[in-house]
Amino acid sequence: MESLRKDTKGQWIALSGLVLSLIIIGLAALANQAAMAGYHSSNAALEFPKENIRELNLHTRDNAKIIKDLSFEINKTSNESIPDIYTQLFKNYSSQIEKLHAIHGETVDVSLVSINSTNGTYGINDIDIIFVNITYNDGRTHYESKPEVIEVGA
Amino acid sequence: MRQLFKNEEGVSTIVEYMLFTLICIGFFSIISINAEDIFINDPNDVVMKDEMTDIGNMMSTMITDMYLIVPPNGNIDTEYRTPVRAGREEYTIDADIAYEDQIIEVISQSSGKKVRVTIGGIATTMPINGTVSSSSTNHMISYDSRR
Repeated sequence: MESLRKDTKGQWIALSGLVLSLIIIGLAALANQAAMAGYHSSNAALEFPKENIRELNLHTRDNAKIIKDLSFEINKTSNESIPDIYTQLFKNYSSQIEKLHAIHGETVDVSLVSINSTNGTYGINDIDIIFVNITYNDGRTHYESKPEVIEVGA
Repeated sequence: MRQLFKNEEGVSTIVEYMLFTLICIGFFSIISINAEDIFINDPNDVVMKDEMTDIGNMMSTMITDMYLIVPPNGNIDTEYRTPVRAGREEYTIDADIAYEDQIIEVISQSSGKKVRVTIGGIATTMPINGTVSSSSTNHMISYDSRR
């Protein structure tokens, strides 16, 4: 112990220890500030259900077209009218998409308003515009499209 | 130089004590005079600037995201939460100047600190207005195609 206290060599090592500790303190201060930055902006980008709403819209648009083609196919072997078959198929789609969104904790309502045909008949090339009400609610964001105008013409 | 480092004469223990005491007194008097600025105001300024920029960016993000999905016939509204204080001060989010300048302001009323965030030219096609205080209970952005 005596020799350790009297030994004055190694001053540079002691000094470099001081310098290193100051650098580490500075870095720690900087790191603490960086942790604060950008929480709310990134959280808003994550929490806002932009893609969910957009997907719901796109699905509904796609399915309105698919259901149109499908109801013509079914009409060939059925004696129900095309609008009746369309309404029935759309009801199926609606209940399915509502269940799918309910799994994610979102309330969704997709309902058929009207099937429109410019010349009044409902042949293969006549149905051109479908009106659909879409609502979406995840507790924080409430979206309503009344009506969503979907062009299904060929 | 080598001689200077090896030579340990010339400093008595008492002089060393006095020197250290004087340095310590000087150091602490400077620190205690400026303590408010060094430990509270300067960090507060940094935190406020960071947090207000963050909140401005949040508003900008939400408005841009909403703009991308607004229904042609219908409405959309979204609630959001903001911290009541940025640093130690309450603040106001002001979108009333968005139409002319394409920016949103986050302002602290008590100290006048202000951060401006751009909204990327959205307000020319979709009018944006409104102000809200950070301390109010409900924060909401809403859009209605019929208004």
